[in-house]
Amino acid sequence: MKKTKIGSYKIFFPRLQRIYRFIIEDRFLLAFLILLVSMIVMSVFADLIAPNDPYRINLAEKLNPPSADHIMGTDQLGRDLFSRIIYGGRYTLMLSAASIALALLIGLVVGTVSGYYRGLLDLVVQRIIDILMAFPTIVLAIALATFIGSKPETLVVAVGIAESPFMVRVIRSAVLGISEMPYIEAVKLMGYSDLYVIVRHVIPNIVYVVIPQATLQMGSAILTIAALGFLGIGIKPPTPEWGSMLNEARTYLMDYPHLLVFPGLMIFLAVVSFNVIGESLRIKLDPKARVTYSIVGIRVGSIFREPGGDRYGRR
Amino acid sequence: MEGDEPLLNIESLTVGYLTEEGILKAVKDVDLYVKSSEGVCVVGESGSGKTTLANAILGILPPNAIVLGGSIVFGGIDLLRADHRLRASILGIKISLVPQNPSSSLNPILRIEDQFCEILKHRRGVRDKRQCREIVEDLLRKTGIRDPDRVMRQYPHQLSGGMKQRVLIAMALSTSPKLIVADEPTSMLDATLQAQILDVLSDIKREGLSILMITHDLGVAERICERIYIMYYGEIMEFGSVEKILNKPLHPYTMLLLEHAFLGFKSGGRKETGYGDMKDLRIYKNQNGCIFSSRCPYAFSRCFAEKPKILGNSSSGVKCFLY
Amino acid sequence: MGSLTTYIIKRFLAAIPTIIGAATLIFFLVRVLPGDPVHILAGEQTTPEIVERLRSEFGLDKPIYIQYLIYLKSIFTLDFGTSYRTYTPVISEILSRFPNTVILALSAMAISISLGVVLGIIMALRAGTILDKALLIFTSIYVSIPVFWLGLILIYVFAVQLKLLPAGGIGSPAHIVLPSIALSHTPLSYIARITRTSMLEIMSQDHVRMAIARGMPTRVIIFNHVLRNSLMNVITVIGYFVGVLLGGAVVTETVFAYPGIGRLLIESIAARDYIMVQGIVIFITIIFILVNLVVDIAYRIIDPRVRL
Repeated sequence: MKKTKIGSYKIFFPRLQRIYRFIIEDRFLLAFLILLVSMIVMSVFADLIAPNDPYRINLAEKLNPPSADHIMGTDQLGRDLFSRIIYGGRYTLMLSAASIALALLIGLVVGTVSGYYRGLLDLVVQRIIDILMAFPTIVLAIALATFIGSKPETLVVAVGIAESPFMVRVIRSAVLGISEMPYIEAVKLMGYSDLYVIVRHVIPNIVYVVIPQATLQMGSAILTIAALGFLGIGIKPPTPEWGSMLNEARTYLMDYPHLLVFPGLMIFLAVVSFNVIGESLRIKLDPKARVTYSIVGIRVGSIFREPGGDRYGRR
Repeated sequence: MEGDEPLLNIESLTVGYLTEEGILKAVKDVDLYVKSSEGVCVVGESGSGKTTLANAILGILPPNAIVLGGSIVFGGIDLLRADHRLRASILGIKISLVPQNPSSSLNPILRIEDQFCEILKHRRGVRDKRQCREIVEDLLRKTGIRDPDRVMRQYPHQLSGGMKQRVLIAMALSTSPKLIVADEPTSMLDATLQAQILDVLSDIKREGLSILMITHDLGVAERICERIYIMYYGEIMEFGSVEKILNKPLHPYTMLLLEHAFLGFKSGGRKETGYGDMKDLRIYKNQNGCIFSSRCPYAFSRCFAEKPKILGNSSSGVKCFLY
Repeated sequence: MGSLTTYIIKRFLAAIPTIIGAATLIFFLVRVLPGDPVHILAGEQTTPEIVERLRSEFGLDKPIYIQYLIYLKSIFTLDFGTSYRTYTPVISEILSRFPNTVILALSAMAISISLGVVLGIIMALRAGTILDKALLIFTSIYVSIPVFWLGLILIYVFAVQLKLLPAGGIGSPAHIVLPSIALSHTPLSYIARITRTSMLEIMSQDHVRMAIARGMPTRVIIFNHVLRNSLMNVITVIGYFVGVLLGGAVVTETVFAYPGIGRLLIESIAARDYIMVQGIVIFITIIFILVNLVVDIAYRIIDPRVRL
């Protein structure tokens, strides 16, 4: 990606400078990062931002299209959609974050131990992961949510468990790769305890894999949580949540389409941001990722035609 | 006169790569020629630009490469300036490539005969399957494969490295080329196989083909070639006949190579001097003076200030201030 | 061919423990809910007779390991019990709806594959250009759209406003169009991406370079060498998604009120018909495992490197 300089001011700390070049100069990444941060801010400070009480029913004003009073209109019970969207973000975003945090925790613990020690433990873990992956993710999430319950806490557990196999696999494979490296052997030989080696040496080296993975899975978790809400298995009305709001919008689809635009749009924007940021991070953080792109790099004209024609042998 | 006109004549060729640091020149102002029925070796280590040179001749430079100047004349036609059709009639037909890695250079999902027939169909117009098989059998025998029928029907992964390389040589021969460019064809094979493949190549040469061999191994050069060009970081340091280079080397770098080759020979393997890497091209980008000066045991002040020119004639020369 | 048959058998055998494991998971999951499992399975409005019948049918008064064994036996005989709601055997309900889901999944895959591969090829051939970047962005965006939102939008545009296609249900090929489009959006993006990546990787390989050096026509290189080699990778992804779609069409079927097993699952959950839920989940899982198995074997058959 072309690096454009936003401002040329002196940066004194080399670390900061690297972060600057890394994130801020990539305008694309920056845009989505800003979008994401604003959504998060919106959810956290919902009380301050929302103009109305999201639960307040006002049948006289029901199903109004967007207007000055209600920026996004009102829903079938006269509740202000805008406020509901803002509060809805809390549930959708925070529950997803919590479930990914759980998946991350499981992934780190299980994946690291499994990849580091290998042996019987690793085989058992692999089988369990295979079993969990034997269910399509949404089905697993639905099954777990159905039987464990649909309170926010249990939803987090359900989605967290459903998303964890991917995390475990990725972490385990990264740990396997690192463990093979000679310098880990060297540290171990120096007599440090396993725990020390894992925490101080293995984990910092897998960060570059874990962060993009967690980011990308956030997108997936948001879709799952919202889907559960939509299906009526997740967060249920009157609690505002983007997925369940879309479900409510269904009945009134024919005549009041505005109900369906905003909740879906918010889910979409959140997921897109995480996906784009995650992809970006993955490419930037992977030391080997550049390779594929070098063959199809820059085409430069010169006064002499390249003898081979263009790269595909076209002459 | 017919015999004097070189088959391939490269003059002042300069090829660079476009990178984040600007244009890095991998081949600088190189003059080289190959006559008919002649074996010419380009000897150098990794990073010397020899592969870039080969790629430039064959027309398979990567997209970030630029030809900055010079000419590559084959049979009277400048390959760099000819139009598409003319180039297409030469490259791949009259000039063929024998690659370095036999395992990765064959399509893993097609049988050998299918790969051959594809080449024959598109480059020689042979569409009949039976005719194709006959030709393939003939070619495979020529490269020393004793049971061509069986080999033809196999997939690449079922063949050994040596077999695959013979197959590749046979494929290179399938279009009746005048020149074969061999890019380190034996570096992936062990010593015995190496000898066998070199024998195959010598046999081919006897039939009238010219071979331009890229290698880092002087031993290989000695077996196949009549003339040698020594390359270092994109420049020709010395060139001449095999006897001359090996017995009376002029350039300090040539002497260094010979020393290491001899050592290597003694200890049973090939040894590289440890110089040469693409990344180092950047160090030399802006250097004045002789490119070998920083490592030359005989360097004196002039070597660091000026670039030497090639001294000599068309059959041999050296680029060094010692002369 | 001996090694291939051995491989097939081995894989089948390996799949069985996975199926058992998954079923076990469900077994314990159902018993997580507090309360007497019988009442949970029997549902809310039940009579003492039903409760007793269930108790004996599932051996719920017996110790848990016996229950487990009975459960396992029932899985392998595909006797998933009787639905509380409809009083018909679970398995027959499932099998009557399953073909619909299959049709939906296959048509969604047809769209995904045809469009996805084409897009992938375009992206690979124009890699690095603006077109490629735009398409990459497009796939990232397209895959981020929630299925249910896409479905509702499609319904609104095509069914409500344009009145072109039906909004739901089943009955004619037209009924499958919108759900297939909605369902195909995720596989399409993935298939496009993997085709692209696979092709780029192959294009940088030596044998392609050789073909170029030999002066083979571009079309031949792309089709015979690059595409054929890349498609192997794509097939793995396709297989995976077929499995996912068969079970994961839950949301799409709900949006379009399409009578497949996904919708059956949701209906059963809403009706607290947990026997049905249990049965459907197990069924979907078995299908998923089997599909992945078939894809794996198919892959081995196609790739000569492995076959011989």
